[in-house]
Amino acid sequence: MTFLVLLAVLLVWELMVRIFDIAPYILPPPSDVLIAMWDARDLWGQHIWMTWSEAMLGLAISMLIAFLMSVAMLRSLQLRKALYPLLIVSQTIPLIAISPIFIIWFDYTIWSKVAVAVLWSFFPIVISLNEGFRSVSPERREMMISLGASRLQIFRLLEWPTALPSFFAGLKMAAAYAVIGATVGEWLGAERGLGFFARRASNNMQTDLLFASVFILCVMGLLMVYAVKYMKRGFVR
Amino acid sequence: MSGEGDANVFVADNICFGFPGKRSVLDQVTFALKERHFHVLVGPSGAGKSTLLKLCAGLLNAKEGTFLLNGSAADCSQRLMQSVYMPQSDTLLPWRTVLDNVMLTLELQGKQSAEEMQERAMALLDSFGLRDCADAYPDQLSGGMKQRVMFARTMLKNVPLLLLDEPFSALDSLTRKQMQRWLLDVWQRDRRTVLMVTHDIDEALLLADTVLVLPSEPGETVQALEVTFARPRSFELIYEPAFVERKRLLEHMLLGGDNL
Ligand SMILES: Nc1ncnc2c1ncn2[C@@H]1O[C@H](COP(=O)(O)OP(=O)(O)O)[C@@H](O)[C@H]1O
Ligand SMILES: [Mg+2]
Repeated sequence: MTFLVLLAVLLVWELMVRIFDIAPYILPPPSDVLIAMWDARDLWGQHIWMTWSEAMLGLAISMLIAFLMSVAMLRSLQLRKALYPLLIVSQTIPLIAISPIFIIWFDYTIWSKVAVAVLWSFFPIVISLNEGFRSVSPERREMMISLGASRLQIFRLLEWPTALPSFFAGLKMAAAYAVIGATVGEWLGAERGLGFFARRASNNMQTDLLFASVFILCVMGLLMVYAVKYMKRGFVR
Repeated sequence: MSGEGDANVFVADNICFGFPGKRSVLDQVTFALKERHFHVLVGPSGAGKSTLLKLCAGLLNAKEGTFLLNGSAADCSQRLMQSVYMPQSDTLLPWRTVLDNVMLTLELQGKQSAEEMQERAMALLDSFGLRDCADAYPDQLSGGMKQRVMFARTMLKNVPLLLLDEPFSALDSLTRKQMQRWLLDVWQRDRRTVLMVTHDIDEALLLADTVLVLPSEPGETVQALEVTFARPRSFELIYEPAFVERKRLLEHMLLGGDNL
């Protein structure tokens, strides 16, 4: 169904552009985009690989930091009381406005892009993980303690499994955000990657190539979201 | 079944407790539990029954007063080791099957092989009438069945003192009656010292050897009412004059003497 809707949209788009004779640098028809994508087939590989690596590295680092931070907040009530409001408030920071700082710090290396990907993907994970840990019922915890569970057992057998569905919900969002973050980073300063490619295309008024890279980015984001969904099935009943 | 082994296994002596920043919940609470007897704790809601049970279980630390286990003072860790607490709400782990939920108790001890644990848990499920749902998940069970699984998990911890917090409060009245019968049956075989909270006066008198009444105001004394009906008890008991007389007495203790 979704596929049919998508096809219909593309068809209408194609027709509109042809009927109203819109200049290709304003809006190229989907067929032009496909042709441009095909013509540039030798170029995509390196850019895709670059963006993919940055997004994956960023996501992994986000997960690690978010995990450590959430566990610390689970253990210490004071820490949670101090940090939680900050996390919520930080949601309102326009991430795109502070992204350039990482280009200044890490220059044109891969790490400036990874850092921006971390910035974009970190909050969904840490917030959902926190919500997950907070949803552990006090009664279940008391039950575990009374049955003789150690701190580690309570974490492994109660707290972590309780937080898992929420964690995956956050991770799914974060996966898409990591791709966006990597692209933004590349847009701001890079020599390779889909964001860099899209920016160059945009500067050169190669709108068909711009759309082609956006299309590839969408597919990449979707693939990551589906990968997380698939992974979740192995963990959550 | 009084007469045999009436020793006080567990004593709460002048226990005081309050949550931080709130007025005290329990003040100078004193009572004793007799070995292998069934004690029921009643009292108005908010009186601190759950809090008292958690104190007995070693989940909370008393501000003042001491607990005695077999005559000697028992701190939190000793109470944790010698008792088990079953909370009021549904505490089954929804991602585990019934068997795995029950096995949790043994898993936490970590002393046995997987086969041994499975065997012991299975044997208990069998005697609790739960064999057929061993592979079911909690959300596939009725309220009564869930409660049985929680009992199984709790009782698999091999300790002398069972602390049960309103185990039947979420059940409809018919299921509740069935579960009372079932619990009497299970307890008759098991015969450990029990302290159980309930709201239901009939339930209290049907199950208990001793009913303890927790006062609504902190500071007043805990009263005890002996219930000496012969065991095994029948459900017809509630219609007998002796039962009605006890019930009147208990309601009097709970509500005070001034009738309308
Ligand atoms: N974790 C808690 N923090 C603060 N106050 C609590 C907590 N648990 C219970 N209380 C308060 O202690 C009192 C006794 O509660 P509880 O022991 O649950 O009563 P009962 O089980 O008799 O209904 C109530 O006033 C309740 O609000
Ligand atoms: Mg209660």
